[in-house]
Amino acid sequence: MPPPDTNTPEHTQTPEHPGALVARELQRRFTTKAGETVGVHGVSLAVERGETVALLGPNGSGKSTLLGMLATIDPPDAGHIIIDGVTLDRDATRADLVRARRRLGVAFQSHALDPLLTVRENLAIAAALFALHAPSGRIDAVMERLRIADRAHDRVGTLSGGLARRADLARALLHEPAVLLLDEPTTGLDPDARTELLETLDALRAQDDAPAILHSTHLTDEAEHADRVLIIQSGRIITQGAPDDLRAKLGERALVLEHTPEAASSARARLAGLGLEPRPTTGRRTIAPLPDSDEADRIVRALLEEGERFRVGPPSLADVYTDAIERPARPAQAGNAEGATP
Amino acid sequence: MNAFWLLTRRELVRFLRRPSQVGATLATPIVIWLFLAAGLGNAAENYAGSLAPAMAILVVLFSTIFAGMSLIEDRHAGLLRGVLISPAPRWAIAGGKLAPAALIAAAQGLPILLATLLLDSRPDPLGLLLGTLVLILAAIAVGGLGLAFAWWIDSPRGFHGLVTAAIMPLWLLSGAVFPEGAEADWINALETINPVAWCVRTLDAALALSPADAPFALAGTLAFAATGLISATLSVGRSAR
Repeated sequence: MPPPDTNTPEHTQTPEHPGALVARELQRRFTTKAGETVGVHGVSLAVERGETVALLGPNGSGKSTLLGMLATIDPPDAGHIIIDGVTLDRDATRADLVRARRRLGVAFQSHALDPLLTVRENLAIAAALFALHAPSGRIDAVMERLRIADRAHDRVGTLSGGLARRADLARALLHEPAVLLLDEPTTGLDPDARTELLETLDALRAQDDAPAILHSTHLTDEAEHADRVLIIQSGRIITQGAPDDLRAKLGERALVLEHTPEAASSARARLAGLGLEPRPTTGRRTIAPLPDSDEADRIVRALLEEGERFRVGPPSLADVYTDAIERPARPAQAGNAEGATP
Repeated sequence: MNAFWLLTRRELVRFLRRPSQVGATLATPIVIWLFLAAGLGNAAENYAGSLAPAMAILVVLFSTIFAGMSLIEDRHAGLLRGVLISPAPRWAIAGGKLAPAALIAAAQGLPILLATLLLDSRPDPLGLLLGTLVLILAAIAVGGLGLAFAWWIDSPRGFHGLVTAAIMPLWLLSGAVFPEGAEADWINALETINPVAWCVRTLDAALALSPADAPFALAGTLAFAATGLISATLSVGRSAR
């Protein structure tokens, strides 16, 4: 049975299920010299406790703007957020905001630790900011959990990027939040540190009391670690689903034909001529699900004879991402942003 | 309250772990003091000693520049965002910046006051204590306004330029820099409405154990400190929901 088609704005932007983190119809406008632009268009989402969701999108797609609103840094122009049952809307009071922030942990692209202070000193300040009582035990526990206990008395400025990021994650987790927001947590890390951090996140989500985790990224291999992926472009969530479900939409095997952007329509016509159903694209790759092996062999041979550059195999999340991002704009996306708001 | 104390402590620890800041804050006023005392020493009796309150206030002014700069640095490093998304009360965040800035500024101004012991003017220990309190008031005033400015200015260079441009004229017009009777009438007029001059006059009176001699300056200094305190707290509160 084919997976349900979640690849429509109507589905992705109006989730009906509750969650530790819920956002409904969030909108954010910016005023620039060129006029008013909309950074986030009526985005809705929900993340449950124990679930990890990746917000995947290119630079400038609205990931950080969306996370800024969810982190209660920037108030949305429209819509509301529910953090572990606390609703933040236009009528929210300062007390609501404080209650929501007690339930929220946030780690940014660059760590929010003082490089002149030790790891432990930084965590003690974080504990005070969240008014934690007798925080010493919690600080020990979170440092142990994130494997930084042996560096507790080192100044953060002397730590490697990966260790500093783990210390920052400890800061974000110290008050045991119901929701954890991570803004491109692996930015600037070397491959080993990146792998370690992703393993740390995997271990975190496997725990019984795991928070709802939403992390932004522009790397598809990081998004593979998530239970669900939301692909965002131009401030809209354009596709969402579990990585396996998203891949399944491209079939068991797919053919990815490479070309110049100008040759996109002729490449599509070529694949259609071979009996495939290529996905529309404006980019450098046209993706088409491959039929059974006999038919596939014929198509592959034909393309090889023509000297085309292509690959065949199980579709990856990168293929799903390319398919979503490079797809021609839908009428709602192409039109006025106001008209696109559900 | 705990957040206020720990944020205050953090700033004090940071200061102690950056010794270059101590030297930078003290060096400029001391050099200016030496040059002025050498250059204008013959223009008035005990000129170097009478300049001491103005020099101590100058140290406070320079020191509070660092407080504003540190706020901008915190913002660029992401530290400020980490604090602002916490449920800590806004007053604790503003106070956690302003209180250590005032303490550090006063502590840096104190050696100047102690140096007066070596000069002809010898303040009483009680005078030194009162003088330190005035330094703290001046630091709250200037530090609070500096933090309020820093809250809205993103560029460290812009902040430094703006504050330096404001500090030097205010200090030169503090009433203690030019030998008595040497100023033009319009400078005298400006001195009467200059809050830095109020601080210098109050400090002078405190060191002489005669604060009652400068009631207008004392009231002005208190109002100046209140303005700084309110400005810093409002800036933090308004910008961070």
